[in-house]
Amino acid sequence: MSENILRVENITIQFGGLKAVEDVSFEVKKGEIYGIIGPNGAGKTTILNAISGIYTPVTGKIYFKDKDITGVEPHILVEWGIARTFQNSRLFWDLSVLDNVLLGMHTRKKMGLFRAIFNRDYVNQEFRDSIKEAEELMTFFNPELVERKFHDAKSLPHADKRRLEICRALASNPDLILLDEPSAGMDPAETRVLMEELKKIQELRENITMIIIEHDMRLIGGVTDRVLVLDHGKKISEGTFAQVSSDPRVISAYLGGSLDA
Amino acid sequence: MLSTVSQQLLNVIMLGSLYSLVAIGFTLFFGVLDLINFAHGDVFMLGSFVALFLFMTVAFFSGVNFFTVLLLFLITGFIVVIAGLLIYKLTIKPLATSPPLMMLLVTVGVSIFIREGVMLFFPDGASPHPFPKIFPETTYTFLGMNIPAGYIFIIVISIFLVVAMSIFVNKTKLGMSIRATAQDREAALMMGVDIDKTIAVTFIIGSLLAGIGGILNGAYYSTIKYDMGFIAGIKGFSCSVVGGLGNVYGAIVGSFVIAFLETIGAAFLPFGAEYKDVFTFIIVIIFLVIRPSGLMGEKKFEKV
Amino acid sequence: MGKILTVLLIELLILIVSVFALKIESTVGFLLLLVSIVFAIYYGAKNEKIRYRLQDAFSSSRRFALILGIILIFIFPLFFMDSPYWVFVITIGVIYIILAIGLNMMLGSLDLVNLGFAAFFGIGAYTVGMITAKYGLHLPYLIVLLLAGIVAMIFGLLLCLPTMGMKGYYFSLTTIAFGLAVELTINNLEWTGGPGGIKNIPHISLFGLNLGDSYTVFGYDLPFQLNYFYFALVIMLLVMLVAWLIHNSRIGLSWNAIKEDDIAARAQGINIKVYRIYAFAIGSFIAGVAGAIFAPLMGYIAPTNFTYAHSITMVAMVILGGIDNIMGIALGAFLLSIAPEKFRAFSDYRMLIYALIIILMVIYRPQGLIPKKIRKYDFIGGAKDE
Ligand SMILES: Nc1ncnc2c1ncn2[C@@H]1O[C@H](COP(=O)(O)OP(=O)(O)OP(=O)(O)O)[C@@H](O)[C@H]1O
Ligand SMILES: [Mg+2]
Repeated sequence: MSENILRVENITIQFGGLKAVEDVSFEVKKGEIYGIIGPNGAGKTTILNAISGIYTPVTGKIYFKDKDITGVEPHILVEWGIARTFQNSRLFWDLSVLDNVLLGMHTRKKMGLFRAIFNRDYVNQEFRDSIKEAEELMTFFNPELVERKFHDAKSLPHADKRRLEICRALASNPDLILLDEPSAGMDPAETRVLMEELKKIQELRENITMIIIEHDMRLIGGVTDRVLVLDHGKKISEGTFAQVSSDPRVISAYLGGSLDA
Repeated sequence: MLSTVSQQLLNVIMLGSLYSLVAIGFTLFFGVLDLINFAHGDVFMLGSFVALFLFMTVAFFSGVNFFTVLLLFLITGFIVVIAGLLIYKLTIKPLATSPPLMMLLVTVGVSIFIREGVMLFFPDGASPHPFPKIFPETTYTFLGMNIPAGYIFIIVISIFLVVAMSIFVNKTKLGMSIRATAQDREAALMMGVDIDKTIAVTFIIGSLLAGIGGILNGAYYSTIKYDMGFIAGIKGFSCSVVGGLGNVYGAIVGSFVIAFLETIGAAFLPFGAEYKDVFTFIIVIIFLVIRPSGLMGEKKFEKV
Repeated sequence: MGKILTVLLIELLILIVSVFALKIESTVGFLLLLVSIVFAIYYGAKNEKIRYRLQDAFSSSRRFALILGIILIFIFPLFFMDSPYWVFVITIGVIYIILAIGLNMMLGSLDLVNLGFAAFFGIGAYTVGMITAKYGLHLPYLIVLLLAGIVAMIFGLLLCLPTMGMKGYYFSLTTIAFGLAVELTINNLEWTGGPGGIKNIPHISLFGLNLGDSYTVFGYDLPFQLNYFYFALVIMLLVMLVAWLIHNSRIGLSWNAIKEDDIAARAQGINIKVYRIYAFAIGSFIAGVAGAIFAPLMGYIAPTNFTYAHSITMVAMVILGGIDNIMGIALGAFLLSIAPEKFRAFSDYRMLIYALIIILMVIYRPQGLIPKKIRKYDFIGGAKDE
């Protein structure tokens, strides 16, 4: 078993005629926090979607724990240890905060029809355990989530919605978690808190590997071990944040935008 | 042999034209507001009943001549357009921000409402009604086919409507706004397109085509019944699906494809005639399963 | 104690009012009653204090409320001993409650608007008709009932597989087509009796009792329809129980997740296909069971009993009562199956009124009469919510 948890080999992803990602390769080490940055439309989200099984690359392969996962369906990948959040939060808005987190545990706790109908002791015990676990997880992020556990997810303040989505993803006990712009829509103070929380996740879940897409360069600089830079669907640089931010190709790609937010 | 083949061909053309008039509406509504209007087939039916009603009253006084028939078309067109607008303003617009499920349900409700309304309030509405002969009854013989003059009128009027619609959508400003909205609603909004007005215009066009289609359908089959909008609606929807929802020309192609398969099925399959509609549904379901984007639609990738 | 009394009084009141509402002869009187009920509910719901007290009373003596409710439902038809027709109408109402709950497995749980649901009902009924009347097989009725459910379920799965990837309109179109195809087929096939349907379906006989017989209890001659009512009621309660258990399990939770956002659901590891199969299997099975009660009750079934209009009626029931709320659906189904009988003069307008109900509810009260509630997990015991 290699120390790489994820290996992406020469993937190309195409929508009709548009090549959103072209011949991109990278490896992510176990326990690493790996950043993906790049201008708008660079293909960051598309790569995440490919890793989590929502899109299938037209060419190239993706290996997770040395297993070829190219084209494997998303729900199976969750079972194998990949969880994710979405750039535009995709919570279950009309379900309660608690239900959202409970659903995150689906792969570990799912039950068949027979049990649901005939073994209520099991069902009740399962719910008691899950609720306890969910509450602990929510408390870790924000005790207020626990207080609002029976409210609709849509009623939460923005920053808590983003947190809840991370909670939900963590609830599956993933080995690899993919975060798509977790700070989107947050103000600087909230972003700072989020940074601390992201670092703390590794205390909570030892050995967890994270891939984070971000536009907030301070966050990327502050939490990531290594960064991949994309532009127009192509990989243009990779390395520590310090390395990539002095890479001339990166600077020219960001010309107009700025790297040192 | 030649004559049966050409007679069947004629059937295909007739059916295809009639289906097109309904299918175009489906495809337009879907384009501008992702809506399948389950009441659209009933607007088609409404057209034929309005025409029948007008005929019973107006023609009673003045007899059938070119002028009364023209008037019949105009007034019927006007009334179905009003009906279409009412459907939009009263039931669909209030649901603009509701989940799609609600819009689907409301059009189902409207569909039943129109159908039952005609059944209950049209004199003897539950029975089939003979449709007046609004076209001359001469028959021409051509390549061994017997072509009633009415058929020629139906084809010509259908072509006229489709061409007029096509010119409107492609050449006028309002038509452009329909296309822009269909392509990308947000972008259209930013370019200053009045979405509400655009949708209303779409309802006008769709309902007009369907309503006139209803009259032509009456003239073709010479009987009409309150529940015929149901099958018409399903057929129209099916044609637009087969052609590729959202694509106007796809709807026309789809209509002729369905008309063709149906005619062949009815002629050559055992029990084909009785199971004609079942046969159509099976074709559509196969399409939905293997090529949901239809013949001419583009494959869409859901944005995540 | 005060709370128990409140529950007792309220439930008795509901019983008395509903008996009265069905018994009252004059249309004006009925309408007056209806208006005052609506007014009372409206006022009660608006007044915080009353609402709170009622909610509190019912939630703190839930078990009592439930058992009392069931007892009262069992008593309900006894008020109509003088008119077997009403007992029959109420029984049909119960059958429709079963159907609406079955439909909700797709419509409410997954947002799949099945506009051909009556087909499963028909398939269940025809299965019974064919077995018992056409082929005259003497199988124990419970086996026949099970077979009806299973045959309907097989058709449910047949519909489920090709529609696996479909949502919204495409799904609804396909279900319409399916419903029509089933209707046309039983109408055209000689094997199923064609348009004439199946006649002389024997009554249910169960544990040595024949539900077609009129039994005498304490000197009263009970109409045979009452037997069917009680049988249907037991099945209805079972179906409701199963629906409740599933809703309050991870299956129900996963259904709702898929309904809200299928992509997010997949990203939680939910295998959508499995859950759609569950919904179709359970929903169509329930409809088949309803058909198995319907056929022997009627004694005669025909394709016209299972049309598009019937499917729409079932959808209207769920929408009126409250999507994904079992009590709501039961209420909606019962109201809509009783109302046309009550408004005899208006019975021609039945479908028109159903259509209006769908339209108005969707626009003004999409959550239905009794909206669904957020899961509070107060059934699990132990870890109470604070
Ligand atoms: N489902 C889709 N269908 C068609 N094109 C798509 C789809 N998803 C993404 N694209 C296109 O692929 C390209 C890359 O998109 P992607 O969302 O991966 O960018 P991104 O780097 O995440 O940008 P942002 O920073 O704005 O989130 C864009 O040109 C986008 O329009
Ligand atoms: Mg992105």
